[in-house]
Amino acid sequence: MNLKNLLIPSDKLSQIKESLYQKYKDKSDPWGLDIDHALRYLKVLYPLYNSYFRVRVFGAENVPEGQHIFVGNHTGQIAFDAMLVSMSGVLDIEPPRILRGMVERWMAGLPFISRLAAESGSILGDRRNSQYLLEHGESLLVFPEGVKGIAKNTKDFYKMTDFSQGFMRMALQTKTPILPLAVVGAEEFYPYVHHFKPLEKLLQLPALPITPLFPILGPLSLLPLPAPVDIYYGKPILLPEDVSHDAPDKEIDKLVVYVQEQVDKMVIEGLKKRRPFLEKYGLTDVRKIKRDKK
Amino acid sequence: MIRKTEVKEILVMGAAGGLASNLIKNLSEKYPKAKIIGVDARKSKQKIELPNVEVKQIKYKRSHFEKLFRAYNFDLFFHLGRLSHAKTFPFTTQARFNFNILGTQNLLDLCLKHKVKKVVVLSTYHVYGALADNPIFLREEAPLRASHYYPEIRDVVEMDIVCTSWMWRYRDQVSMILLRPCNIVGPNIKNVMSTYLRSSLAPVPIDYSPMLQFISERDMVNVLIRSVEELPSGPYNVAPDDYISIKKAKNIIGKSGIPFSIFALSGVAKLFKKTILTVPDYLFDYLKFSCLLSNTQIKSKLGEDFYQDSSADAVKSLK
Repeated sequence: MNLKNLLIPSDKLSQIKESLYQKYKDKSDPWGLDIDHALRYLKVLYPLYNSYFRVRVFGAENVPEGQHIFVGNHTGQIAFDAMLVSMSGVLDIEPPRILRGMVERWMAGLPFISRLAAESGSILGDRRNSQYLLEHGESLLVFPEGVKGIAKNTKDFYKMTDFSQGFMRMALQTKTPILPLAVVGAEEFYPYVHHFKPLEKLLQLPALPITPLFPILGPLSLLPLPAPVDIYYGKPILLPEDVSHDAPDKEIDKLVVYVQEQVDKMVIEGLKKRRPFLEKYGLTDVRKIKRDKK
Repeated sequence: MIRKTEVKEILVMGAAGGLASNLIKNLSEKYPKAKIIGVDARKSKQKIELPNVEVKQIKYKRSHFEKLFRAYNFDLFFHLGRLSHAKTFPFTTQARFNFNILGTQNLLDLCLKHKVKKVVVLSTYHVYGALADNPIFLREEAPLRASHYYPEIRDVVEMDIVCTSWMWRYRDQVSMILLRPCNIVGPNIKNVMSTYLRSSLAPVPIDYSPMLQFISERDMVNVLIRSVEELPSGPYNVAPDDYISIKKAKNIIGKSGIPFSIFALSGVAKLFKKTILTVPDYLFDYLKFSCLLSNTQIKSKLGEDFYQDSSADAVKSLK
């Protein structure tokens, strides 16, 4: 292993620092974003990004300067996809930007993780919080499938669940363009997984992926496998000016479905270019999972 | 709204406290022709010797207050006498609950009976509760959820609710301002947050880092005074625009405290509170989860410059 791959190249790091300092240095953030801590976490997690998950980014040139709502598919059981997209927002997009991810309510109560997420720029998934950020020029990272999107059983891998409407109403209200993105590869972090709903309910968890190694390893079985991840950025979607954010569901649904289709197309294309992982070990290739046409 | 010339007699409850003492001095300056009566169950540490001020130590009993209201014709009543949870206040939980809820109710009824023109009550931001799912920023109409999780501060929430419902019921007869300030800090303040910030032994969370708002003692006194003539009836959050983390606040004072995981703290806190730690358990949740206030409402009435000190400046005054 080349040790150089574990470190962010110094010239790139100084560029990122300069750009982010301009916007965030010495400015307090109500959720606790701390740019120095965020950059420290970026350096610590870089080996995961670059060497463990070997993230490739496609379409970074599609992302123009300015504020956007980044909308993507949610995959991989645990929100490593959000972490990787957030990192790519700093490492691969020009100019670098902190994508303000939205965390689940229960996650905001977790020690250490909630602090790490807050200091890196995440916010609690609440409409008033998102609106505040959009009004203050920030970009949001949204996974409109929510928990039901990320917590799928193996047979449903890469099948997207319906997007919720909240992000679209917010985009219309604040006139923020949407930037579709797709994450391909994260489903193989846990190749065989089942969600046992009664257990999740008993433990009051939104999801608990049970893997074949769970009986032997317990919580350690939640460590993700080093499946390679590709992130695709699409072109910005400008929203019609004649649709109100308070429009009836039917009108909003049309726009939401359009965004979902753009993400879905990128997922399908992405699966074709997917680097082999499981099949190297003689296991099922998730690319062959039959996708239902909606 | 009450006019300056209408203010002839003022009652300030909780007069032995640092904030109330300052308020009395400022009221005396602003209303030199008015008679100001300060009352408290505790003995006042600093003597206020001003011609139009009289500070009395009385037992908090209904008959004593009835006597007081009969003896004077108060136009203004400042209720700064909520019994605190800080260990410096020698009251039992039962006494605290009785006074803060029933006592407040009785006092408000006395105000109504004796035709007090304006009542200003000091509540606290604690009523909203520090919860993981609090939005940024909490407006006055946000539900008061503190008592869902911390039964020991149920009295604080119930007192706020008593005041709010009383305010709307008698809005044609008495004007009432209910102030919900963020953490008030200053050299004369001895509330739980000041105690925590001043303590070198206080645990500082390593696993959470929420933002906190602080308002200086002098800004709070200024808001209390301006509320008389400039605020219409209603509840108001009082907080500056900015916020700082607890770690930064401790660093400003130079009392870094003991780094600790709040996750593992509840047991340790129970052990410490009987010995060296004088901070109530519920405060730790305010160090875990954010509870930031929106100041839009008060700003719209008092203007952008209703406070002078930022959160960091306010904390500096504790040094």
